[in-house]
Parts: sequence; C-alpha cells; structure tokens
Amino acid sequence: MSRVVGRLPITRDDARWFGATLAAGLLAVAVYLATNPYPAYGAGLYLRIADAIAAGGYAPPARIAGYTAEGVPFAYPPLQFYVLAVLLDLGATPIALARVLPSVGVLAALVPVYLLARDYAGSRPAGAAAGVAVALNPQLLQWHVSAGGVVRAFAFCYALTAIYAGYRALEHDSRPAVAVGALAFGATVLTHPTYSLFVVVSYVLLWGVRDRSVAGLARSAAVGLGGAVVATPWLLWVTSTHGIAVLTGAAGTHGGVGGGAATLFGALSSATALPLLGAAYLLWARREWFLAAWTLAAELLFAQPRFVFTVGSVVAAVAAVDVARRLPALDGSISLPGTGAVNRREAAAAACLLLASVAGGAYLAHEMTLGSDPSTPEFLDDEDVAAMEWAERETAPDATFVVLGDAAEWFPALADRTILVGPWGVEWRGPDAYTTQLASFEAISRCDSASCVEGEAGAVGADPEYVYLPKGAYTVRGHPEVTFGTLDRSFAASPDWERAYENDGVVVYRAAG
Amino acid sequence: MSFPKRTARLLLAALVVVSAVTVVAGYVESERTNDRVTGDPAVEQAFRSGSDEAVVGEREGITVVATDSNAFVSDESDAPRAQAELAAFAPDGSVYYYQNDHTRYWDVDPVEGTSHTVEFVYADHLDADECDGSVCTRNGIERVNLTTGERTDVFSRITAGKHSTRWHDADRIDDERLLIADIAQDRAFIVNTTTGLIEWSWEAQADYDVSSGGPFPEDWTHINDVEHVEIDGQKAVMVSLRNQDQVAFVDMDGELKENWTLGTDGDHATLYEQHNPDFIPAERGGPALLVGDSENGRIVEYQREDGEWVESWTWADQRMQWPRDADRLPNGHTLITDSNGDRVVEVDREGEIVWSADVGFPYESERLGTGDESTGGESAASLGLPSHEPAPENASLFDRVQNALPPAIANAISYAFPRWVGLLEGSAIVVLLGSLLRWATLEYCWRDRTVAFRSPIEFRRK
Repeated sequence: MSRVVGRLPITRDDARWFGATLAAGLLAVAVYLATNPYPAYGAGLYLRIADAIAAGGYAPPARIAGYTAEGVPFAYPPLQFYVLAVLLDLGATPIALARVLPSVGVLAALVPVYLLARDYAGSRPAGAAAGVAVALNPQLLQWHVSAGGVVRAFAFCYALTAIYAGYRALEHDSRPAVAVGALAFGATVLTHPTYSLFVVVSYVLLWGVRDRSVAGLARSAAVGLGGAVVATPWLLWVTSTHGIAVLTGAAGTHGGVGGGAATLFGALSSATALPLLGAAYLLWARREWFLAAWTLAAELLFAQPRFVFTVGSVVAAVAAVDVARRLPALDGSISLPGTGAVNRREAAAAACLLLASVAGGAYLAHEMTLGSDPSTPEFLDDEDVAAMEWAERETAPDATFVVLGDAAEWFPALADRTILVGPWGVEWRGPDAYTTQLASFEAISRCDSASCVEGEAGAVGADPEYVYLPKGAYTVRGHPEVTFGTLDRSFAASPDWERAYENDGVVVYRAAG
Repeated sequence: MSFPKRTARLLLAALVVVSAVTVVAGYVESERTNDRVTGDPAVEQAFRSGSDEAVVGEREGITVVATDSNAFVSDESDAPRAQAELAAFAPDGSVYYYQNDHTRYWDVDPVEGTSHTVEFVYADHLDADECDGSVCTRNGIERVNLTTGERTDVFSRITAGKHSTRWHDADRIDDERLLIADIAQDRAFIVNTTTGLIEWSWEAQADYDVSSGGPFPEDWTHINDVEHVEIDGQKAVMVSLRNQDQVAFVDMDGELKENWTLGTDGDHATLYEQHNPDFIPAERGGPALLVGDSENGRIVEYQREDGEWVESWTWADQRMQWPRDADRLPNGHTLITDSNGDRVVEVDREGEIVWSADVGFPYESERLGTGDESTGGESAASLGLPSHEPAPENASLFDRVQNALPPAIANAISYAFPRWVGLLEGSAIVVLLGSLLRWATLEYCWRDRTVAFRSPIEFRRK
C-alpha cells in the first residue's frame, strides 16, 4: 500500500495548491447546485438508456423506445450508462442523479488538470492556476456540471487522466503511466468519441513535438492499443448490432471533426482566441512549440470551445509562471503574520488565485441566477414534473406526444411515453434524420398557434394524440422563449383538440374524437 | 498640491477601484433586473419571464405596440431597446401577445371586421447567402390573430441594403390592395396582393430634386408613412417625406397637391424629421394632421385654415425623446409612442397622462377597438385640446444638459445611450477615465525614460 502511495504523483506538498483548485471547484459546484433546483439541460435519454440496461439485466439494449415513434438505436459508448444503471438500481432517482453526479466528474477532472499543469510548468501554483481556470470556466461548466455531465464530465476526467498519463509516460519513461493511460483512454473511448479524439490528438502532439523517439512511439502505441482492447467488445457489439454505418453517420452531426475551423474564423474576436494569444506569447518567449500546436489543434479540430478553453487554462498557467519569473519585484520573500517568510511569487500566486476564485464564483452566481441563464438553463420545473407524472398515470402506455420546448428531452424518461418529434439519439439514424428532427423540433417549439404545430408535426409524419404546451417562460435548445397563452388559446379554440390537463406551467391537449 | 508617489498611486488606485466597482455594479444590477429602459422595467421583465401578472394599467381595449431596435452593428442583442417586438397588453394590464421573430417591427394596424387581428410591417435582415452574397432585407406585411397566434403572410419583397431601405408603413385600401411607403425606392405604391401587380405608384423624383432632403441615393427621402385619404372631395395619397421635413399629398393621377404640403425642407420650426402623420378629415373636425414631430421632441397637430396649415396643438413633457407616433382616440385622448422615452402613453383631453406602458424603443402603437390610427378621433381644434409643454422646473440636471444640445445630437445620444447609466454611474465613468488618464500621465512623468515619436521609436534617458 505504501509503495502505491509513494508512486502517486501527488504528495502532501500539493495539499495547499491542489486545495485551492478543489476549493474553486467546490465553489462552482455549490453555486450550481444552489441555483439549480433541477438539473441544467437534459439527460432524459441517458437515464432512459440506463434504465433499459438495468431492466434488461445489464445486457445492452439494441433500441431505446420513447424517442420518436421508432425509437433510437443504442450506439452510444456505454460505460457511463452502466454506471448510471448501477446507481439507479441502488435506488438513486433520475433527476437527483442528473443534478448531482456531474459534479463528481467535474471535481475529479481537476486532479489531472492540476497535475498536468504542475508538471508541465514545474510549478505547483501553475497547477492550481490551471485547475482554478478550468473549475470556474462557465463554458466548461455548462457542458460538464449540467445534466449531460453524467457522461461528459466523466469523459473529460478520463481524457485528461489519459493525457496526463501520456505526458508522464513520455517525459518520465513511466511504465505505470502507460498502464494508467491505456485504462483511461479505454474508459474515454467507452464514454465519449469527441473526448477520445482529444486524447488521440494530444498524444500525437506530445510525441511529435516533444518526444519523437522510437521508445516514446512504442509507449504511445501501447496506450492506444490498450485503449482499443478495452473498447473492442463494445465496438464489436455496436458494429454487429447496428453496422458500421451507425458510427460514421453520427460522426458529422455535432460539429464534427474540424468544426472548430469555421468557429475560429467566424469569431476570432471571441474568448476562444485568447488561448491563441497565450500560446503565441509562449512561443515567442519560450519557444514553446507543444502548447502552441496543442492550442491550435484544439481550436481548429473541435467545434466545441471547451477543448480550447481546457488547453488555454494550461497555457495561461505556464504563461503566468513565465511572466512572474521575469518580474524582479517578485524576487525574495515577505513576512506574513503567522506564516513567517513566504516566497513573494507564491504569495502573489495565492492572492491572484483567491481573487480569481472570488470573482469567478461571483460571476457564476450572477450568470446562473439570471432569468435568461445562458450557461445552466433548466429544462424542467415543478410543473413539468407534475405534468409528466400525470401523463404516466393517466394516459395509455402507447400514447404519443408532441412536446414543445426542451422539457421534451426529459419526457420519455419521466413520463414513460413516446415523443414523436425530437433530435435526441436520432444522430444514430444518420445526419439527415437528425437534421430533420432537430429542425422540426425547433420549429414546433417556437410555434404560437395550433395550425403551426399541426403543420410542422405533419411535415415529419407525426400525428400525436397529445400535445404538451409550456406556459410562460421555457427554453428551446437552451435558449429562452416565452409564451403568453397564445398557444393555449389557439388549441382551446380548435375543434380538433380538447384540454386534457393543466397546471400553472403546462397545458396538455388531447386530439378530439 | 503634490503627493508623494506612493500616496498618489494609492489614491488613484482607490479611485479606479471604487469607480470601476460602481460602474460594474450598475451594469450588473440593470442586467439582473432588465432595468435597461427608461422608467419602470416591469414590462420588459414580463417579456423575459412570461409573467401573466398585470404590468401596465387597465384599459378598455387591447393596446398593441410594435418596437424598433437600436442594434445597428449586430442584430443579436438581448437588451430591451435592441429587441424588436410585437406585443399586446390585455385590458387587465397583462401581456396578451408577444412575438420577436422579425428583425424590426414598424407600422401596426387593426384589421377591419376583426376584434383581435392586426396587420403589421416587418423587416428581416437576410443572410448573405439569401442575398446573392450581399446585404439585403425582406420587407413584409403579415397578419396575426392576437388571440390564437394564427399568422398569415400578406405581401413581401426583398430590397438591397438594410439601414435605409426598410419599409416602415403600409395602409390597407381594401381586401386586396395595400398602399406601401417604399423607403428603398423613395416612392409610394399600391400593390394588389392577390395578383402581385403594382397598380399605382408615385416616385418622389417626380416632384422633388435629389438635392433636397437626405443623402441621395442612400437615404434621400426616408418615406416613412403613407395614408389613403380624401382631400377636396378627391382620393389622394398622403406621404411623409421625413428627410424633406414634409407631409405631402398626391392625387391618384400622380400630381403633387403642392398647396396641401405641410412643412418645408429645413424649416425645422414646423416639422423636423417627422413620423406617422395621421390625417383627420373635415367631418371629424379637420382637415388636420396629427404628427410625431420626432426631432423636435413633441407631438404636434396642424389644422387646415383658409388653405394654410396652422399649428393647433402640441404635447410634450420633460421625458419625451423622439416620439414617432400619435393616434387620436374616439374619446379625445391621444395615444403617443415615445421612442427614446421608452414608453407608450395615453394623454387625456387636459393633457394629463392617464395610462402608460414603459417599453424599450417603441415605434408605433394601436388601441384596438378605436379604429385604425386616428380614424376614430377628432381634431384637437374641434375638441378644444390645450397644449402641454415640458415643465423646465421639473427637469433633472441630465435633462437640462440634454435640452441645451441641438435636437438631432440629443436624440442621437439618447438613441444609443445605455439606460443603466444614471447620474451615479455616469459620474463613476468620468472619475474612472479621469483617474486612469491621470495615473498614466503621472507614471509617464515619473519614469526616467521618455518616448520620442520619431522614426524609428527611440527610448532615451531624460
């Protein structure tokens, strides 16, 4: 046991600086949980998958019912769904899981972030700086602490663990790191394809820019091979169940590889350009080629800015250390009450981290309590849950619904009824089906009359028995929308519909006759 | 008085921190409460929250408001004054209807024979791929039932550009024909929306020199309002040429009725870049013209007397900034849309405000059940309405500064000025900028190096 502890890359000396990282992470999580009584965004499909796995004795289901009339193929990497299935079997409730579990992944991911930045910069304060930057980045939190974080936050954690292990394996010839890297990479592949690509790109750059040795190539290949071995059973099952086309078809539906290039050139003034500035500084100041290449790759290859923000956090930490070393005013030490002499650079770093944490936490609290909360909008509220309970209780098990607004994502999971229109999981039926469902869902959700809903639903062959309408404020793909009863009045005036259920936030109409 | 360096730095740092915190706090507070309009933010808050509570006072009929947007760089902004909207307030004061799908909303009129249906003019800025790679705008007229949300496209055309090409007004002549104010081509035309054929048109160039008004061709006349009227027993088209400061009348043979023209290009005492003139005919106490005299910051009415237009009524208060619409209601009240004052107000026969809705950057409003614009109302002269002037003694310091500026400059500032900047935040911005500037100059003076602006830049000891 002591041998294992002794080989861990973290020691007592890291306690204070990693503690700063963890404190920032806890602050972000606390702000999120305090301001979000329901999970942000959706995880209904994920939980329905997990429920199907548990119900089927942990055999992978071929299809998931409830999402569109024909259901959707189950071709997602399965690891986290099995974790969720176990937790559901242990008695966890779906909403509580989606609200709390992502926070665990968010906090766990801070460990490899801290270690990577610490080792890369040779500075514990740098590790803490990168950790705090990742912990409080609203974009990263938006995707990781929200409901989908039950998958993505853990994919992020596994991916960063694999990358840190790769760094150790190449820089320190560490064999245990190769084993950890293989396991973490395998876990990443079994969790999320985009994060897996991030790992692969990072390894290629680590070896190609910093190493270029045959031994390094062998160690990197061992990680890749190990990961492939871990993931092979799932890949075999998916391709034998659904065919290879299910994977290639889904690949281009969420921005795809290279999607960042369009984002970059369309918005170079945005915050995603900041990491490039930091990388350019390090290239100029320290001939830091790896971080420059890593930043550029993250910027260009990934449509989702969370990857470049992650890399940017390490870049910012390394750049901060470089700048601090150039400032003579930070030479020497100062005396602080109770601690004696303290290195000036460490004191300055601690002060900056404290300030950043307070400012970042305050910003998150501000943003997450805005009426138009841009980073953690909730798809559900009490009225939605009540309406879905009614649907489960009072409608036939094979009843079909069209649900307007983002509550639709949760509807099959919580009401155990089918939605006829919605993009979730449809990427596995190919990009055309996905695009059609997405466009239809967005158009229907922004309708303000019964004829509009009927027309848009009819255009995709949907003929629902029930329509589920929000009242007041709701969201469509996370963006705020509002209705002042127009839809309700329109359905009420139509002879083709009759009101079946209503509460303060939802009204449900049933097709007449 | 000179301070030691350390004291001066501390003092300046304190000023920077305090003023910056004041500015940030003001901005955050306004963002959190949607308090970025002049006046009560309740309406704007309801537009975001979907609240069904009453946010304005009770009235007998529904009030519909079409709002413009002051976003001129990007169409994307969630600030209340940058959100273009069509909203309706129920008689109980709650929001009855809301949409914000279009880039801009302009004229809104009730549809005859209906109780809750309106027709409105909109503009949609199109993407470059919809404009053959350039910039263009879809100008259209749409009909919506405010109760059921049913929407019908009536007519639309794409015009090149956006800023000075967006149609602002359409006037329904009958079931099939619309009279349209075409800013893009400096003309008014009647289109049959069933056949799509233009049946009548009058081009400003037929009677106006291109040296008049605004810059030709970018924004020459800015024809922003049309009305199908009857003068001297003949059908005619009333045209508001904003940049010529004139309301003109053209008969159906296309002849300008020059002796009926109100205003002269550059005569800002009569009209100054007006909006939405309403013609009140003789049978309702006219002929009279009720006009949003926008750059003059007032509503003005002119009565036709002995072949001349004579000013018969004005209304303004201290808050009024760039009003762009006024409708005389059947009860003698006037419904005023005050664009940069961020409000729609109803003033009674005594000139007192009896109802108001604070809305970001409104363009035009209608009270349903009172007829299209001023068609149910009588002239101020026949009603004996007293004029209402702003009370200078009630003016705040900010108002006084604004009043001292030329109207066009004051309105331009008001157009873009962020509403969350009050006296405190404004003072903090001045202190912040002044402190930073002073600090920078002091630091420069304290340095033992100087920058000489020669080629190449040279550093040397003083």
